[in-house]
Amino acid sequence: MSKDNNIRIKVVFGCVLFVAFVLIFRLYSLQIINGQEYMDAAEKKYVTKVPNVFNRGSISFTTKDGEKIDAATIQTGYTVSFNPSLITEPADVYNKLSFVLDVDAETFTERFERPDSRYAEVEKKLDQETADKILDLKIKGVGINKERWRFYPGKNLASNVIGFMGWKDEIYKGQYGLERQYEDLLNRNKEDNYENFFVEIFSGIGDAFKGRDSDGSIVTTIEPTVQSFVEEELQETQAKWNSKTVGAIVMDPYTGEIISMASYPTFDLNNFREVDDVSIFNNPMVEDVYEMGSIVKPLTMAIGLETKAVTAKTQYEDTGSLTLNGFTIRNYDKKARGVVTMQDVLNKSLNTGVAFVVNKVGNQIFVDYLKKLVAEKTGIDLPNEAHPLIENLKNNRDIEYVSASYGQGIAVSPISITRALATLGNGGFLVTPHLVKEIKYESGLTKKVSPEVGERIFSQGTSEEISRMLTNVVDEALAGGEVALPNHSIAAKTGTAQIAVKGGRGYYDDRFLHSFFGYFPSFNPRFIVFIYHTEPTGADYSSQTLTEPFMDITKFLINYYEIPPDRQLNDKGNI
Amino acid sequence: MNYRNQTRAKAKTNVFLSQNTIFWTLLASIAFFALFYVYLINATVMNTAQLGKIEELVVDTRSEISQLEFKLIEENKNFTKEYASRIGLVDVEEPVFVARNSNSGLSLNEQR
Repeated sequence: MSKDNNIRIKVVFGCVLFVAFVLIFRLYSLQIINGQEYMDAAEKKYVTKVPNVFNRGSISFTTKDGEKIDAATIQTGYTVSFNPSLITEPADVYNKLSFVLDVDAETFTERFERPDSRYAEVEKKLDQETADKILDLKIKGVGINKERWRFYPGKNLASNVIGFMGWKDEIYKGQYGLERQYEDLLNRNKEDNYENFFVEIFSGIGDAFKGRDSDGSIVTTIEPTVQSFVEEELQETQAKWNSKTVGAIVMDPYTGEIISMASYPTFDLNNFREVDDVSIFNNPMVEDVYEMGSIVKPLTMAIGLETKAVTAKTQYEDTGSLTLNGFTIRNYDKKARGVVTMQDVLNKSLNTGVAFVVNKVGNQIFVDYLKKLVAEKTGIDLPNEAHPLIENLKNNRDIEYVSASYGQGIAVSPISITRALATLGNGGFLVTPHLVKEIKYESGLTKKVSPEVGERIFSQGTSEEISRMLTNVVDEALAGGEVALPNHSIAAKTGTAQIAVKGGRGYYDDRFLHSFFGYFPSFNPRFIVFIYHTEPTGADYSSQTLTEPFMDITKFLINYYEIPPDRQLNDKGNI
Repeated sequence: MNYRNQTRAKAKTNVFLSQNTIFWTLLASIAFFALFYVYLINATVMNTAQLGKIEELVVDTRSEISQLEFKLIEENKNFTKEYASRIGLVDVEEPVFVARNSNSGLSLNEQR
């Protein structure tokens, strides 16, 4: 081996040795010299189980112009803490801090005097300016930590829909509403193994293409201005009629997109701990079932029209009451009206009239249609959807079918009945109500969510005919035709139902549910609006309590969305 | 003979020079790529950290914008019919609606 080769080998060996030495020194530095420091830092990071750098996908509303507004996001702030073991003059520290913070002296002293305490928090969620001021004071033993938390800029807005985060089984996660439904997608603190930066990017894109991307944000169909208006309307209704619960849904009858879903009482999502009654965290529009009353009559009538058992002009003799299986059913006012048409059945909300329709259709066919409309869950993207209670229909007694025809004896959720009623206006299709229209993945890809349109229950002809009949209800019967709009057709119906005794048999004599639904324009509708309230006081019928809020919401939507007029009524009410 | 030896020596020197050049070129390349690798890793780490910071800033800014949006929605509630009446606006007696989809055709120019 030549002398030159020896030199080369020595140079290469020297380089390798040098690199090895650098690596060993770095390891020594990390493990031995600064080991304790890093361990302390790591310990400090995991004092609580909330990850130090909290992160989570956002939930956004969509305005009518397509603009996204965050309804659930992350906010950053600072926590001021101190280590009592490092502070010799607590009074001095308090005096300095009190120039910047509004700290109670007693609380400060109490935290300072906790035995064996090495960490105590003074104030949380401070802004950057205040944190900088405290840092400038350079107080020994006082520290500032950056923190991030879930923040809901809309406060009360759509609180039952959005939900919030809380502790469950020692895990901090979404507890109600969309926060819970989309937990896997929104959660960013999964216990995944560490991945290389590049691997993360490229595997993320790959996963997204294969539909396996697990990190994203959601864009909802909720329109914030509409939601705000509807909530205010509900609050006024509750105050006026002293109702127990009030709720409303505004939905696109063709797509199932929920524009607004609101209930009252409500709560501030940023301060949900202040709520005493945790039941208000639930979403009654999805999780509760009610006997809906006469708003079911248009469904019964549509079944009659679809099966050609009746037409709008079909006549029957209203005797005011009907006895079946030993039970007597009566019209709401217990009055008989003689020979009347099917249009009158809807205009005057006659129980005996829909009983006539069921008789003409036949029990089994009627039940088959009703089951298609309300027997299954809607599949809405919210947790805990209630299953409809239609067990009575299995009893095979005439009285059960007739009761169901005017909305008693079967109980469904507000979202379920809204979906069923949407079939009347949209050409007969069952849609899937949904709140999420887009999923924005971390990889940058966006997935549009548009559930497929379901089964067709009614034909176009039936849909048009029942819509015409319900428009007549508004133009001639509702408040004597006084509330009809001259330039916009509205199809609507009211409902008043007795509330069943909880855990017992029969109904309360003095507790009612008032419901109201309508869609507009009557033909090719843009929106279906459903409103209900339970146990209102001061009025007996839904037409008295819910006509005003329904018309307010309807007029607001017509103006806000600039819905073009579809007719011109003259002074006599004719087109 | 002498000439042959001279040629061999020259050839040997050329080979040696060529090997020497290759060795130092390779060593320089290794050093260059090692340094370039260190630079790229450093840049990646820096950019990743920067990306994290920017993402945080974006979230904070979006949060602030959302608060302003909701404030705007609340403020808009003050523009009521009563407020309009107070500042002197009156209801239109016979509203004229212009339907967006009423007529999309071109109008004729009737001016002569």
